Amino acid sequence: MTGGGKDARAAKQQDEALTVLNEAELLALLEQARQNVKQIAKRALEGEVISGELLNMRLRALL
Amino acid sequence: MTLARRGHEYPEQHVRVYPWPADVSRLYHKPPGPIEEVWPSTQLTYLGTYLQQLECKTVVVEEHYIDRDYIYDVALYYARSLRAYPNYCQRIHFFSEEFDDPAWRRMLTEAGAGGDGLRATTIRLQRAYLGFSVVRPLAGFPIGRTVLRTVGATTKEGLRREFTCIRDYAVHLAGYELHVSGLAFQQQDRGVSACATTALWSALHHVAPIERLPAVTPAEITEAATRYSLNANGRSLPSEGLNIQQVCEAIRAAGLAPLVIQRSDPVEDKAQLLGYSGSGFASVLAVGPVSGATHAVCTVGLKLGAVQPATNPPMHFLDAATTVRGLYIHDDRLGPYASVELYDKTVSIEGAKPPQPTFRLHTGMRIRWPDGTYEAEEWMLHAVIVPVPIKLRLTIARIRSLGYSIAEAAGMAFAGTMPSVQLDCRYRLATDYRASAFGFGLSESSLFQLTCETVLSRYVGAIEISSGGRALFDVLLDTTENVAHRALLACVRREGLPEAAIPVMKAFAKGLETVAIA
Repeated sequence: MTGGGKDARAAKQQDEALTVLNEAELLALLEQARQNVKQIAKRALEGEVISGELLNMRLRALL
Repeated sequence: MTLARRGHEYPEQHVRVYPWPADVSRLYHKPPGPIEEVWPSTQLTYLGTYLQQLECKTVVVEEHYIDRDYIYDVALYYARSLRAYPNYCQRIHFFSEEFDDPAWRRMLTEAGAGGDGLRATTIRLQRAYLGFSVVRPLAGFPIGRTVLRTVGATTKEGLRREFTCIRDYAVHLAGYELHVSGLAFQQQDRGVSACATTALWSALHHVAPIERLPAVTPAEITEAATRYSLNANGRSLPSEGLNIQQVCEAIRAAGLAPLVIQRSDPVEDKAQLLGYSGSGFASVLAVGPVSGATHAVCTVGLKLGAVQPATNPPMHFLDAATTVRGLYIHDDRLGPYASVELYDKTVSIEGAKPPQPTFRLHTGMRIRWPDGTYEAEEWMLHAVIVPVPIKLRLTIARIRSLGYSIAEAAGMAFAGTMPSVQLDCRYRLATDYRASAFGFGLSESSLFQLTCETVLSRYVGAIEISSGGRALFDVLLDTTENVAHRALLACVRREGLPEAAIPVMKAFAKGLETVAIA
């Protein structure tokens, strides 16, 4: 079999694998993903909480 | 009797050519009086080392140069000193080609001979041009506005350098127009500016022209910063540094919005650096020992490596934030484009007792000094202060909080069919995004829909989903909103998404209640 033939078969297999899920299943997947990332999504927003102490830090490094 | 003549003469102008000196500090005068610090200063040593790296061979000195930033400093501060500070500077231009004074004169003759002479000479000089440095007549603090070319695209260790916060500067020298791509740097003078002033000045140099705002000078920054909030010692000048609140005030006065982000864990910190600096928003970093921020630097670029697997918790996607290995910063204790390595630093939590966590990870910074060694003290990132356009309200953190679920869903849907899915969150100028859409492989109607029928905010937030280095699809967000899930504009197919996967993207667009452009 030629390299091109192998590529075509791989692409066909990929296409078949990609079309396994229907729309309802994909929407369910999106909902499941939301639940999976809840913890890290919360962590992403941590840096938005600013302390008063931070705002008053004086930046004046001298050599 | 006639009084001594004052103020009748103009200063003299000379343009002179010198070979690159082995020791760059020989170009500068040692300050008078007992030396408070080392001489040559670390900044001069750094400048020499950096230009050596760029293979500088020749310097051309303009003896008279009016520098806008310095003349404002004179007007605000130095004009009232007993010492008669001149209102002009000198300027040094650096070239990678060897030429001497007679050769310089020949070039001028050729340029004036008509025909293609001027163009040919300009091209020759441009090819060798490395940038310039203004020399202020301030003893001990001579390095004024300095714009130098950046170093190559990869490090010795094979990491990618991305200088995302540089711009073009047009430079006029003896009738030639030359260009250099970089970001302006200058040393603090301890009169008008401290580290925070110069770091912010550099950051504004990048964003201000994009937003059609005037470039502010260090004097204007110090005045704006201390207008409503005095320093601890009560006076604003001589500058004793700025606190973060004052930095924010100065950003506001410059016509931009200050966005302050407190340090989080190392992955999130890197995500902020990638999101803002990677999108071209040069940021001021508040850095210092574990106890607190004491110094400010400006980000100019990123050092990127391979993406790392997600470990805590394990996810179905990779995070582009893990590619960030280091930074390039303007550090006024050193010079432009100083190299920084980022690392995870374990810090104990004061007063915490098990079973509560007794330590947490912070982002450590190792700043490289001119001799190749690293700063002895361990420093950490404390905060990122980003001057952003006023209408840019949606933060990278909020874009990421939505991006996580989209990347996770894509990772699960495409598992086993293609390499791991990767998440990257950036801002894109809508005009640039539309222009790049011609290469997305969209259908004729979809290209028309994106370019002619879709409204986009000036900056769009882009959740970019890719796999194996190929872009799959983008989720575009309106950055004038402040909540990501209410800011969805469209899901846009990219060139790497196979035909068979288009229904997956369309289903996600439906789930997100936005339009799919495929």
